[in-house]
Amino acid sequence: MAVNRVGFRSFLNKISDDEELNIVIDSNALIASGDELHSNYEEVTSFINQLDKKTNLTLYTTVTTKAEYLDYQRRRFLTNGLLSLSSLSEIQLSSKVKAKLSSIKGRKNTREKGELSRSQKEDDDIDSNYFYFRDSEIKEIKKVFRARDVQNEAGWLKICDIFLSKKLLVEEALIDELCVYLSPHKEEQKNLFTNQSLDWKNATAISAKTGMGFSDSMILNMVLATKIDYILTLDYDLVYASAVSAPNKTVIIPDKRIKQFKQILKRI
Amino acid sequence: MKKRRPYLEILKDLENNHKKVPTQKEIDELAEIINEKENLDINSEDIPIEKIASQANKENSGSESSWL
Repeated sequence: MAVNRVGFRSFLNKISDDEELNIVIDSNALIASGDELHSNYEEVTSFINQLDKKTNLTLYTTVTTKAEYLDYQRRRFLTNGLLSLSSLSEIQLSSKVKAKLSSIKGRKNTREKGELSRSQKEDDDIDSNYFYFRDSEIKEIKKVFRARDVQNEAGWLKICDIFLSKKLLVEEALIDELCVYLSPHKEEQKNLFTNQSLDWKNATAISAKTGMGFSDSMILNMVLATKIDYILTLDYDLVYASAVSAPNKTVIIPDKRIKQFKQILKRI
Repeated sequence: MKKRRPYLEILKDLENNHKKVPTQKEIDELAEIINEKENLDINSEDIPIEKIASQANKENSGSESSWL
């Protein structure tokens, strides 16, 4: 089986100056480039910046990836906002809200410690998802704010307004500026697609073949329908599935991950 | 395809967006809502939505609908 993965350094050496370069970026690489606390933030942003300076780079992605990115940022902005409430002297929280925030903060901190310990033990990156509340936890907090009557929902709405709304809208505008969303229905992208109609059954088949998550199989299915040769990812699952289902595409991953994946991919 | 701004400029804007914190005015507005409303009747029971709807219907009965 042909090796269809390449590290950042080798890829930068391989491409020519001023080349027209089309790359599909997946959700975890996009998230890494959008969170300063992410283990791969420096590596990914520096790589994209070098590519952008050297070539005429277009970063493609899917609307599903955009949704994943914005949902991650939603959890991040709300977590940071909610955690900052106790440090604002002007705010007097009810005992019910205080207790809920404290309990959920405790759960998050326990998970974070566990992930830190795992990453040290396994010499692996920290999953930045552990820094933030889960969606179910945000819902729990929301409930204690919206209790009693309809008017008092204003408390939660104001929290969203000042900690989330403006930031999330700006975030979306910037991601929309950075990425081009793949669609066979867009006239300007007609020449990019080899197949003008996407069959979602293929995404199911990709997922079924290697057991990869559906959001990843959807992006891989999209890439397979285009002439775009490269996928930028941090995800082992996408590297694995590409080796099986997309051998004619090249997966670009951080250099240190090449070694980690090598042993497992040898067995495919 | 329309050329976008250099990546570094977009990245700086993203970083600045992430650093944004609420203004004092926004915090004061939040305090006004949270401190007055969220602490009000802390020990009272939630009012079921049916009760609120029923109350609203009673208040509106006999008056001309604004939809007409």
